[in-house]
Order: sequence, then structure tokens, then C-alpha cells
Amino acid sequence: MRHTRLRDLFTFRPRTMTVLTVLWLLVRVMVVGGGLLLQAVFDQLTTDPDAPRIWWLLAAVAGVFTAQTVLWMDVLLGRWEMPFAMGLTARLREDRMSSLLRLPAADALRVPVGDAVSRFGRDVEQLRRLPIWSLSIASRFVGGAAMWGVMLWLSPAVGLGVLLPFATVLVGSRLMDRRLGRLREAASRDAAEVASLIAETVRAAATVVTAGTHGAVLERMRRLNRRRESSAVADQTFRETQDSFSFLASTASAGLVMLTAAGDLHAGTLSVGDLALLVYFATMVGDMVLFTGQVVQRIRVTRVSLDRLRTLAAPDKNGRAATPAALPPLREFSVESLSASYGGRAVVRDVSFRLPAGSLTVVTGGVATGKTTLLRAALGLIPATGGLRWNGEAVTCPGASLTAPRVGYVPQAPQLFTGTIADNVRVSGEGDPSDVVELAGLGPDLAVLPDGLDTVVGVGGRRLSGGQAQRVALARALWRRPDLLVLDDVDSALDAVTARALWERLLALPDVTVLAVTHHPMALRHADTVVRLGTAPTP
Amino acid sequence: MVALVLIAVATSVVQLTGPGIQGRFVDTVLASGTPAVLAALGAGYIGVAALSALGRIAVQWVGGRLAWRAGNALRQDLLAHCLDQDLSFYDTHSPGELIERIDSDVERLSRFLSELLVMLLLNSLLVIGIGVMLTTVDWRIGAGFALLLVVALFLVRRLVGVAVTALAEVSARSAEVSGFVEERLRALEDLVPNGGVPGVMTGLNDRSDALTRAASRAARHQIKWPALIQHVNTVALVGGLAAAVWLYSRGAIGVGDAYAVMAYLMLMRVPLMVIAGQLNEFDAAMAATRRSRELLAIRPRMSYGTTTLPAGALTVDLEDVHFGYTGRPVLRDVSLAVPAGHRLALVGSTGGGKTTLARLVARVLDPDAGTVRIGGVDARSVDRESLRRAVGYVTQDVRVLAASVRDNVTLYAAAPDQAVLTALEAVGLTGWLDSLPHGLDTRLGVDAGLSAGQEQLLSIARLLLRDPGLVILDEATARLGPEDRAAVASAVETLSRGRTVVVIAHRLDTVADCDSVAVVESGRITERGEYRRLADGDSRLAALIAAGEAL
Repeated sequence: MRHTRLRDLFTFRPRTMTVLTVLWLLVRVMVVGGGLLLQAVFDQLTTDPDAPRIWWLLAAVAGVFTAQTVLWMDVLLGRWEMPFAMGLTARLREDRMSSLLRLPAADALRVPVGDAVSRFGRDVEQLRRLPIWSLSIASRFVGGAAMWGVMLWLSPAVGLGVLLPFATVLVGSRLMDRRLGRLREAASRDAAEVASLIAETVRAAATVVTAGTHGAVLERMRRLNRRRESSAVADQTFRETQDSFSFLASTASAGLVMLTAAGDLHAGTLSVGDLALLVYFATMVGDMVLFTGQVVQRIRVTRVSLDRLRTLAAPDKNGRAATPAALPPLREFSVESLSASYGGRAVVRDVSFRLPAGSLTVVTGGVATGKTTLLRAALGLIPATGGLRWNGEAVTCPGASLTAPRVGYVPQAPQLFTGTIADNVRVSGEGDPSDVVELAGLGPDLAVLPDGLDTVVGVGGRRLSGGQAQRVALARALWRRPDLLVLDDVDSALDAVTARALWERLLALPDVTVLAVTHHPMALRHADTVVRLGTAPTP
Repeated sequence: MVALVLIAVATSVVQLTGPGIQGRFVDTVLASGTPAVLAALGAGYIGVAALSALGRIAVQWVGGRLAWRAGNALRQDLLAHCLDQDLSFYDTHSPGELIERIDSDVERLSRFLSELLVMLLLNSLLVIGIGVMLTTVDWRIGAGFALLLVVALFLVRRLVGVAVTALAEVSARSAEVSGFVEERLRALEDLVPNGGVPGVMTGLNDRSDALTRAASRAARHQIKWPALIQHVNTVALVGGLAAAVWLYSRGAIGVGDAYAVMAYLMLMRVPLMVIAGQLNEFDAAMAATRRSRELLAIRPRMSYGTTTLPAGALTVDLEDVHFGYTGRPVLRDVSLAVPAGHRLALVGSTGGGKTTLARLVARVLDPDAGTVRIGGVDARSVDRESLRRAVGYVTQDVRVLAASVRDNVTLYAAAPDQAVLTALEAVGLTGWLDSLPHGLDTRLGVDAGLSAGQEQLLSIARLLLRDPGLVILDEATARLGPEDRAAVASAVETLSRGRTVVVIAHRLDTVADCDSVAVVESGRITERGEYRRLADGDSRLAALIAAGEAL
């Protein structure tokens, strides 16, 4: 899926967009109509205030203004805009998520998770405002143009004079734009720092609280808050200044109307009603100016959000062409001169091995020798060079192809999510997970949990011990009965007895090809191949 | 605050002279006034506008500052409050939810206070001023306006807040979406290879739909009172004009006055339209306030005393300790004495209660019955700062912060760089540090990462920097490979010097280095003694060693 562009925001649900456009235009028609009625009221007042027609005109004013409110509030804001805006939000989020899921999974995110979540929230929210806002602005322009036409027709001098402040503001706001952009940037950078500190602190709350550095966190927060306060106030005040200029222009245009119209009024070629209309319309034309100043700024803010949404993930190099291949049953999986880097350093260099069906391959090595990187590269979870072959055929787009049901994987630090143990096992497809759970060695644990498979694991699986979480992740990998099982340190949090029993069961699995990072002596003893990685390569 | 109100009042007064000038202008024109007077009136009108624009900027600046200060104070309180909670609090409140509460909700409030409240203040003053000015035109118009305002206030009071429940629902659904996104982004590596992609998409879809439904329902409630204000304004305009027409036809007021009445009422209309357009933020801010209050109402069960612990190695004594989770006993009748400077290993199969025992010693949990003493003092009576300084605890999963290497070692505490470097050197991470692009300022998770073994070393460096007298290592060396276990063992050795250490170990070679071993099974300590003595005899430890074919 290609990346969302500015114009995609406008082509989402074209039919609703049309309805909204028509409704907004109707609102503007009411505004223009209201002005014309006020003019008629004053003309009637100055010519013949006792005629009953004036009361009919007042009734019409009441009707038009009421209809405007109903149309704007009840119909537009209350019925149409929110479902449209939220639909757009949902679509943007889903597009982003689905393109993210197509990237090499261990390399996909370019920013901390907390930041990414805030981009999924705040920036998506920013984007959904643009189409609706644009419609309201466009209709203002149409209404404003109509009003300007009426003004020109009534008095060409007034019509032209009203444009003077208009032009001044346009130039002025262009001049202020760059500075505004800088202030805005500083404000959102400082806001992001606060958000990131909060996110990291609550995520690592146990660490911070047990280390007793909560006071230091709060001190840091106080400092970041202060900085954010000054940049946010500067940003808001500057925006208010820009708005005030526009407001000033719209008022000045009303003043200019009075000055230019004075002669005609005195001569009797303009009536008091005409003056009422001109002043009213001048304010509306000025109102239009007030929003003109914001168009550039809005588009910029939207672009920044689009950009932030794009850059939260790695660029998608595969493009649309790469479709995952459905893999046949495994006869042999091979890795050919695989190289990959981690944290900017090449940690896996030119590694090759073969995994015949039913074999066990163990990867060992010290800290930071690239064991995890090797497994990730072999599954296409990070960008790598070299070849991956399934039954001798090159695997195109390995990240999307080497998946369940053919492949099962337990990462080094498995992550569970809110829900039951069963939910966490069945990440794809339905069914009864009892036997895989047993196979993963969770049987004795489930026996003592009152709700068994329906036990709620808590946020991030925190109610389970590290060893239990690891085995739930193993059950998840076994769930679709994979041909190739890839395990990264699956016994690291297990005690000796449990670890031994686990390996006994894994070794007894028929027809499963296992690629495992482990130091367990039993696995090493039964391994068909041992890949030993060297000491940490020097940079 | 006083300055804010003064500027606001001044701004409103300035704005209020505008329509009056317009009325005078009409009268002057009709009374064949001289061009000089007309020009002066026109220029006066523009001058008034310029002054009120300046006033608005000043109000924004002063008001914005006040509002941000209040919002920041609340954010600070909420974070402090969360950090004061028991750790079980974090089992039921996801990071996504807490971020929403501490950051997004408060931001909503700040924005409301800094932008909308200022606007509300300005415009309330303006509305009152309009009433006063209308009274000067004719007292009957003023009285009618006042009556209408009273009725409107009464109606608005009833309608304000009808959307709060609906908005709370929106916020809950929105937090659910954030929580879902957060957990799935964190688990990308688990989900993609194991075929979880379609499930993520349906899950996200369902939650998005629920959010859309809630938001659409809330929108229908939210427009109720802004719409009412608009209607009131229409009534005021039409009523005011009708009154002006009636008074004019009876000769009570002039055309200029009638014109001014309209101008005043129109003056009220434009700002009201702007406010009404943003008023839904008012309800959103009220809902956010309610949620902040709810969060602040949660009280921790754990409390602290005032006793301080001395520096240096500390004793640990457990007396008849019982502990259970929701009725399921985990530890029963556990007593244990660890002398100062002693190294104790806890062994036993998973689920036997080792971790719970470690948590009790680290005072992450309090026992249901019995006492935990640290340095001879009941742990519950020790001062919080002193306790955390004296007791170090390394859990099974090391949390690496998306922050600089320095912050990752100090956990945000102030410490000289030299101390941080020394701690990293002691655990053998100097080589890794040298390979980073920005040294201690390198941001982890963005510019660089850590392998699981390095994470473990980092967590030991954190302890070394803080220098606690009692250290609890929960499966701390579990993820290390054989080649580097020696290096970590020596780091642990350094850490153990002059400290009391309780370690949960699976590797029996680390157990052998300890002064004594306690076997924890089914919530009891079934055996306690020296490794060598127990390992050779007919003991539980010997049975464990045989079963695990330990090294």
C-alpha cells in the first residue's frame, strides 16, 4: 500500500463529501440571505416604519437565522461530520498499520513505541480535521465572493476599498509564516519530549519505583514542563497575534466602508439599509480573510503530521509488487551467505547453513555475537543480504512469506497482550489450544490457575512470570503446527527441571525442523548442526 | 490573574465603543455632519479595533501562561501519583492508558484553559457590556436583554454536561484503541511470523468502529448547548430589532440608536459563533477533569515509615510470612534469616514462590501476615527514599528506556559522568559504549540497541551506580551464554562485595559460589544450608541437580 498523501484525505468517501459541500453552501446562502433581510428591515424602517411589512421582514430574519443554526449545528456538526471524520481516522490508522505489518517486523519501527502510539493518535487526529475544515473554508470563500459582488454592485468604491486590508493581511501573514512554523516546531518538539518521558516512565515504572529514582523523574518532568510552557505560550501568542491582525483587518474594512460610504449616504444614493448590509458583509469578507491566513498554516501542520506518520516506520522498499508466497511443506530450508547488521554494525557476516526436514540446529555464542540477529535475518524480520531457500526455491519477500502455518517463532523477549492465555496463543485462527499449551509445558501452571486457559494475563502479560510468558509464546508459535520452529533462547527464564522437560518434548516432536538459540546442554547434545558465533566483532 | 482580568475588562470596554461609534456615524450622516467629524469617527472606529486587538494578544499571553502552569502542575501531580502506587497498579493500567490520562487528557485541559477559557472570559465580559450599552440606548431594551440572558443561563446550565457521559465513553474507546496499537506495535516480532497480521487488522477495525460509534453519539449530545446559544442569539437579535422598530415608530429613539442596537447584537453574534464552534472542547475538558480526579482517587495500599537504614550490608529476616494472590496461597509460614554480607541463593522449580519471596524482600509486596525486617527494622516502617536507596532489585525482564545511555544507567537521577562510566566499565560494557555514535548521549532504541545479555549487564550497572546495601537478583544471569557468564559472574562478584545478596538462580554454578542455598517449593522453604554440604547428601537440592543435569 502506498503512503497516504494530502489529496487522499479529500477523496475518502466522495459521496459524503458532496453532501457536506452542499450543506455548507446552504449555510452560506443563509448568511448572505440574512444580510439582505437586515438591509430590507432598515430601508423599511427609514422609509415607512409603520407599515406591517417590517414585521414580516423581521419574521423572515428569525426564520433564516434559525434555519442557519439548525443546519449548521444539528445537521452538519451533529449528524454528518463526526461519522465522516472518525471513518477517515479509522482508515488512516488501518492503512498505516497494514503497511507497517508488511515491513521486516523487527526493524519496522523507527521511533520508540510510545512515540509511535502518539503519532497513531495525535497526528491521525490532526489529519482528520483537514477535509472538514477545508469544506467550511471553501464555502466561506464562495459566500464571501457572492457578498463582495453585492458590495461592488452597491458601491464600487466601497467594494474595492474593502480589499485593501485584505491584501495587507495576506502579505503580512506570509511574512509571519516561517516564524510561526519554527515556533510550532519547537512547541511540538517540547511536547514530544514530555510525552516520551511519561511513556518511558510508566512503561518502566517497576524499574524506576524500585530504584527509588521517582523523585529524579519528577524533577526532569518539571524541567521539561517549564520548557514546554514557554514554547507553547510563545506559539499560541504568536498565533493569536496573527489572528488579531486578521481581526483588525476585518474591522478596519468595516471602518473603511463607513468612510467611503459617507459621501454617498449624505447624497442619498446609499440608504441606511445599504450601510447595514455593507458593514455586515465587510465583516464577513473580513472573516474570510481571517481564515485565509490559516490555510497555509493548516496545510503545513497537516503535512507535518503526514510526515510524522510516514517516518514512524522504516521506508517500504518492497512496494506493491511483493506478495507473500504460499509455501509447500518443508523438505529443506537453507541460509546462504547471510549478512545483516544491528545498531549500525555488521554483526552477522556471511553465514550459511542447511536445515533438512526434522533436523535440530543450535546457534550458540557469547553476548552480542549476533545470535538473535541471525535468527531475525533468517526469517526476514530485518533487512539482510544473502539467500534464503525453501526446498531449494529462493524465498521472495521472506518477512511476509516465512510465517504461520509453515513457520513458528518465539522471539528473545516475547510480548503478550491484554486478554486470556488462549487469546495470546491463538493469534491466527480459532480452535482449542489445550494440546499446544500442554506441549509448551504450561500444563502444571494451568492446573493451579483457577481459570485455566481463560486466565487473564494482565497488561503485557505482566500477571504471568517470565517463564510462563515464555511458554505461552512457545504455545503461540506451535499453534498452527509449523514445519519450521525458530526459538530464540526459549529456556532462558525456566528452571532446570522445566527446561529439561521442555527440550525432551521438543526433541520428540515428529517432522518439525528446529532452529534454536540456546545454551541448554541437552539441546546441544542432540543437535544435528551447531552454529557457533564468534566473539563480538569490533566496530 | 488580576492583570488578566484587568486587561480583559479593558479590551471589552474598547470593543464596546465600536457599535456606539457606528450609531453616532449614522446620526451624523443623516444630520448632514461635516466630513471632518465623519472621518474622525471612521478613524476612531479603526483605532478602537487596533486597541482591542492588542488587548486580545495580551490576554492570550497572560492567560496562556496561567493555563499552562495549571496544566503542567496537574500533569506533574498525576505522574507523581502514579509513581506512588503499588506495582500491582500497573497490571491493570496499561502504559497506553496511562499515557492517555497523564498526557493527552491534561493536554486537552491545558488547551481548554489556555485558549477557550480566555475566550470565554473575554466574551462573557463583552455580553455583559452589550447589556449595559443597550440599557443606555433604552432601558426597556436593556431589561429585555437581561431577562433573555437569565433564561438562557438557566437553560444552558441544564444542558452543559449532558455530553460528559458520552464523552467518557469516547475517551475509554480511544484509550482502548491506543492500548491495542501499543501492545501490537510492541509485539510486531511475535505477531508477524506467527500469522497474527489478519487478527491485528480485524482487532483494530472492531475497536475503531466502536470508537466511531461512540464519537458520533457524543457529537449529537455535544451540539445541544452551542445550538441553544445560537438560538438565544437569534431571539436577542430579532427581539432587539423589533423593540428598536417599535421605539423608533413612537419616536423614542433615533435611526442611529436603532442601528447601534443591531450593531451591538451582531457584535455578540460573531464571537459566539467562534466559541460555539469550539465549545465541544468544554465538555471534553470536563470529561478529562473527571478522569484525572478518578485517577487521583486511587490510593496505594503500601505505606512507608520514617526510619532510615544505615549504609553498608544489611541483614534480612523473615518471620512467619504468609502471602497469597486473590485467595491462592503462594507462600506459607516462611521464616528466613540472612546475615549482613551474606550471599543466599534461592532455588526450586517455577511457580514454587521464589519470585514472590524476592518481591517481599525487595518490598515490592507486603506480606499478608508475618514480618519482613531489613537491617533489623520492619520494612513497612522504613522511609521510602532510604529503603529504595538501600535495596536494589533486578527483575527478570530488564526495561531499557528509549532515552540516552546516561539516563538508562542513572534512571534519570543526577550523577557525574565519571560515576556512570565507572559503573559501565565494571560490568564490561566499555567496549560497547565506545562503539556508540554519541557516547553517553546516544539514544537507545533509536540510534542503538542492546542484546539481551547486554541488557542484563546494564541492569547490574544501574545497581552498581546506586550502591545499595542489599541486592536482590531475580534470574538476573539467566539469558547469558556460557562465554560471557564468567564476565557477569565477576560483575556480580564486584557487586556482592560488602553487600547482602539474595539471588534466584537456575545455573547451579552461580549457586555454588553462594554462602548458602534455600530450596523453595510449594510456598515453603524446604531446605537451607551450605551448597557443598547439601549437594552431596540425600537432599532436595541433590534431587534438583540430578533432574536438571546441571553443570
